[in-house]
Amino acid sequence: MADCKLTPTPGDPVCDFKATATGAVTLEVKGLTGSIEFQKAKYNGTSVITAPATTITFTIVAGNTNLDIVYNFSDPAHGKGSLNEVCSDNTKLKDVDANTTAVRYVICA
Amino acid sequence: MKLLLSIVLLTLGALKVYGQPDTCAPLLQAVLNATTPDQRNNAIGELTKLGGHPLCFAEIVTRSPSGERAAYVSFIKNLEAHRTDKQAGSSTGTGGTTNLVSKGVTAQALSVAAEYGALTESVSSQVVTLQGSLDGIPTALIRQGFVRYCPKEGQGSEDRECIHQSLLGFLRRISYGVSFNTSTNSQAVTGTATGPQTGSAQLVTFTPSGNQISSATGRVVLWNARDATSSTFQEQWKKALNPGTGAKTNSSTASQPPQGGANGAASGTAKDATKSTCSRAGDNTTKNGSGGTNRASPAFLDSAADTLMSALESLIPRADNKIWKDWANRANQALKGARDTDLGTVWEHCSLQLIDLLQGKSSANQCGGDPQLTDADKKKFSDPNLPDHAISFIQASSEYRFEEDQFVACMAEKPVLTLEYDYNQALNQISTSTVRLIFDKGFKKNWSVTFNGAFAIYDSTPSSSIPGASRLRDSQVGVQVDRKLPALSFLGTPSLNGAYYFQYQNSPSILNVTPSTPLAGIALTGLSGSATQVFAQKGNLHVGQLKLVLGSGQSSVRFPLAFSYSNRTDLIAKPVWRGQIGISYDFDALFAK
Repeated sequence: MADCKLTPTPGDPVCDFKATATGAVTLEVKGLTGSIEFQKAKYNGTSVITAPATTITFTIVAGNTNLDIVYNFSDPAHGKGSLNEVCSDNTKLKDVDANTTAVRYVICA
Repeated sequence: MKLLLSIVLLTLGALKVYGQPDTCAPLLQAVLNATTPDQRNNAIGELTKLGGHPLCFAEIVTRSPSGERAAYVSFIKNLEAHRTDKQAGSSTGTGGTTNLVSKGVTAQALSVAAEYGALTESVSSQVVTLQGSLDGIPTALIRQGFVRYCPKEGQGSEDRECIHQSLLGFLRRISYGVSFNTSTNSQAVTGTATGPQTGSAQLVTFTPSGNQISSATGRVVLWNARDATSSTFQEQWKKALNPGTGAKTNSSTASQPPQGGANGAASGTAKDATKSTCSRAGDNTTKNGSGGTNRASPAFLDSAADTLMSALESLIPRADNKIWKDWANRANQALKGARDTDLGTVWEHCSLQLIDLLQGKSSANQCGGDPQLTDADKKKFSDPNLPDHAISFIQASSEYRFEEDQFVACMAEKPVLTLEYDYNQALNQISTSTVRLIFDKGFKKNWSVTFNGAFAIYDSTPSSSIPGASRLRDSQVGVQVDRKLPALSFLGTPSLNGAYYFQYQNSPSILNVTPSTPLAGIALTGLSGSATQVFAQKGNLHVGQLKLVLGSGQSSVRFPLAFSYSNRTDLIAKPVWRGQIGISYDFDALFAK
């Protein structure tokens, strides 16, 4: 399993996550209440999936960049889950809930 | 009236007094609820990261002084751009049908099924059926952005200026259909001599007669079964999102069995067991063990997601936006230094300042010091269209939530018990009314069974000179078993069903005749010149049918092919073998943007 690259920074006014290094990273969404999938995902303006999926992989580049996601919930009223990095620690990056289906994260590398 | 109501509702929404929207309340509450400095700092950090709560930011923008007017103007423009509202086999009884068994739920907006063939009628005819359900128009209004959608629960559910999910759910239970007989023999012209003969010519007055509308149907779903939480449902949900990965689909037609007789025949209904289906007969339908089919296509959901993604990218400042980054750092400091009682006020001033700065304006609102921006930064990173982007995002968010709910509702809700009323006005026949109860249930993964029970009555009392005739025309029962077949790449997912139909004829089939006008498709010999009605020998009908429904890849077109055997028809007391073929198209795909 790969080393983790992303660290959540909730107290930072600008960055959602900080990357310890550039390079490929895989994120997954896990459903706690119902199932959740990535319906759309773009990193730095480029789509990183072609169909709904539970994982996305992209290459982090230097600087402040955007990860834009549209989630899809099997329980649109109560769906909850988490966004995690697929790595040795399976770092939890963000909580996800059905009230916020579209998000723009900032990754600072 | 509906348009005026929409204008009033949206105007009221746009002109609300500025205040923090409900979508932002949980974020502020998280700061107030923090029990440690780290928790408080983290909660404050989430407030300034606009991308984590874009709906909150969008609503702040639309409620700001500059956003209010933009919201109204944008709505009027949208209204002008959409001046024209936008706007699938016939029920048993109308002349042509490939369905021995009725279906419980019709297409959401429109579906058209043109079928040729007859099951219990003696004469085939070409019938076109248009059908829909009452939620079709509010659905179209939501998809075109005229009205906002409010979910049953969760964020936005308490809003009043919207169409609620519960209302849509109620309207979805009620469906209707109208069948048109398009065959040439559905129209007749009668000529009556009205003047004296002059030489070899004579003046005649021509009178048209014919019934192009052959039947009308109304349906109400009395009992819905709903499963939106089980692991089985979640598996089906995942597969339905990605049909290409082998999702189960149901290519059942949207047409309903025709009612009434074919030309010249008062056969009563050919409906037997009515299947419950969702309105869209597309490739992306999914049928679970309960027998229901997916109503919402992933295509609608995907299209709404594309629109939402575009709206998100336009609304939320990019990571390199210096106006936002400068503001975020100052706002963060201001919020950290605020007392709990001042938190709302500080946040309000900070958010109003940001809205001004992002539009390229100077701001009278204070937020943790003066902005540290060059003129070049202000020019490069400002966007005067911010209010329009906010409106677009709110609309896109509402529509996406609508599509999510629709997608789930189709798979989760399955009609179990449906009540149907059919009015049938076949050519040269006494019109009939049929009341039918439909029970539809699935068992195992790919099987479902449907039962029908019905009775038909003549709308007017038959002549007393017809032996055995009464208002009660017939009673019927039917059963159909469906099996979903493995998907084929170019044919979608076919289905195979077998049906049995029994009709007890209480009153004989009666045809109205005019001595000077022949009946379409029927030649009468030895008929008395004074006869105005003819009737056939009564007898019980037994009909069996085997039907294969094929699809066409990812399109909404379906081709039912069927063979049937009956011991007699409504007129002819001899066994009959028949073949039926049809085509149906679901117009709901046209409503996707």
